[in-house]
Amino acid sequence: MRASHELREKARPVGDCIWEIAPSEKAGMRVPARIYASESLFAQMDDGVFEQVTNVACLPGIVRAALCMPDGHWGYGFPIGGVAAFLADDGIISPGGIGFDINCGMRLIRTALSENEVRPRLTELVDALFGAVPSGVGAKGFVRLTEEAFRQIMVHGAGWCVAHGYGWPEDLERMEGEGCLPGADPAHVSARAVSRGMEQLGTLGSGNHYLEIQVVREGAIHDASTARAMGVEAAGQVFVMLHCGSRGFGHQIGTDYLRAFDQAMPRYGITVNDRELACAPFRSPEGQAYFAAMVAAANSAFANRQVITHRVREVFSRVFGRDARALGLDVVYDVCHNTAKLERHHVDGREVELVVHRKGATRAFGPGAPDVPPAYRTIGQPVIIGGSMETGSALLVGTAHAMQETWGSTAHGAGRTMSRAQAKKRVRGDTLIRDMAARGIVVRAASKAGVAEEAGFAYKDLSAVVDVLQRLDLSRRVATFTPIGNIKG
Amino acid sequence: MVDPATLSITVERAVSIEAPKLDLLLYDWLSELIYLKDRDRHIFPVAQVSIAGEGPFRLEASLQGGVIDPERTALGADAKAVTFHQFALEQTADGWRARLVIDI
Repeated sequence: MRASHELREKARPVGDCIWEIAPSEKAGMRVPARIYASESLFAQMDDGVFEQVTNVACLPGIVRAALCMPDGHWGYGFPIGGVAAFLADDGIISPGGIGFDINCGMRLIRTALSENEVRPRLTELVDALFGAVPSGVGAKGFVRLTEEAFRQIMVHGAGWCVAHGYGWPEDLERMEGEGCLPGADPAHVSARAVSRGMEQLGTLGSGNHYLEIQVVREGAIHDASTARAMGVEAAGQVFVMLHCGSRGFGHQIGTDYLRAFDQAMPRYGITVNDRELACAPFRSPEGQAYFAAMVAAANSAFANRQVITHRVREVFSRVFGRDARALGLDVVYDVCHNTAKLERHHVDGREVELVVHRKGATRAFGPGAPDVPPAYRTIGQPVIIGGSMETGSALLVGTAHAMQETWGSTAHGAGRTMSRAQAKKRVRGDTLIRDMAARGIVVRAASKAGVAEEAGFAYKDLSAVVDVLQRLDLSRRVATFTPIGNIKG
Repeated sequence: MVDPATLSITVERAVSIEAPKLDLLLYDWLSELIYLKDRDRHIFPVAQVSIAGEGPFRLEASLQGGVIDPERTALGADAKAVTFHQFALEQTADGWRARLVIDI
């Protein structure tokens, strides 16, 4: 079903790359809807974005505005790229503002290798990674867990992995929340979620999830000193980027609580414009139970990316015949882009506790923020933005201005311009794989159709998204990366 | 999720679900199929389904399917969940009509 053009036409420019839809334009809006986009990106956004961001503006307890980042596109409930903060004491929490893939996120790992060293072994490396990191529908992970161990992962996240030999202690110092968000309670996780997700630790998933070998090319380091602080040293340097989340465990928690909230809303007198926005007061028993389960899923996602990192180190070590430390395989950073977090922000001169929902949006705290790890506190939090498998990805840092404008949030990707079905009509997966190989990008995928769905033309130009972030001072560009090897689900 | 032609039918399973409303029964039924795909790697291309009751409603299904074999099964998009976005179930003159968006 298509959304109408009507709300798009109600958006008015209120500054450079800022558009606003006033609360008077839709019944029930409590605050304006604010969209960050250039004219060109605005024109590329689906009509559904405007419908959805204004629906978010109707939710109880929302503060200041419902936001949409420049990579915004039509999602379910919130738009992808949607950010909204709700008063912890007088607002809601909604699984539709987080997504089913709880703590889907990005991790960037540096190496001390150059493209010249990797290129002769690239096919061997991609094949070995494809074998070591299971992907696609029905994939099982390599870590065998008891239910008790899985409960420990829900509480301790990536810390459990490091304590059990899947990583290095310093990895934890370079992750959002040190790879473990507080407040998880396995008692609020269903047995179905546990049985669905327990065997998937260490799997990539499918869709737009990937494991990529990337290179920073000549001219792609935009801020040399900040880049150096993150281990991005010279043109030709090779990186590994991961995009995946909490797998079936998070999907089941989202399913369980979406249904529970759908039934609970009448008890709290809440109505929503889209049933996917089902919600409950944050301080209600239902709201607290979901938060505790959602954090458990978020921690499992950190653990997932951590054990995959361990596998990546093993594979590199085997292929290049050197210890992973000697190969310089250090975590640069790990960011979430599907979460709700309890954060303190300034509103009307007062510090208040907010439940900040980011759905397809990245936290981007600025320099000096206490939640930014000591290694990065002077430069700001690293922001990893994944682009399409053909065109590349970007590394940025958060800014002080983002703290004021967007609750310290920024974009998460390039954003789709067409549906997966439309993309598959335009190109066959095997044709695209051959074409990419001719351009020096080695692809191994569990699903050929899945490759076609992720073609570069199905996404917006990442540099256009990053330009808007830079112009608005929501994040600062540090470096961009070009893929040379891609493992897909 | 997979091309059923590349799946050997080797598994039979019975499923019973109860829900207070008919649309929730549909939501729970499809969510069950997604759950079994992840927990057991089972995909069920064949299902005989009967629904009874006037609230609560009860679904009884007899399923036939197979286990995903990465060497043989042609994989498609992984279904994560049934969404409530634009979710609708209605009775029409021609029978029941449902509109669903699956998160993949």
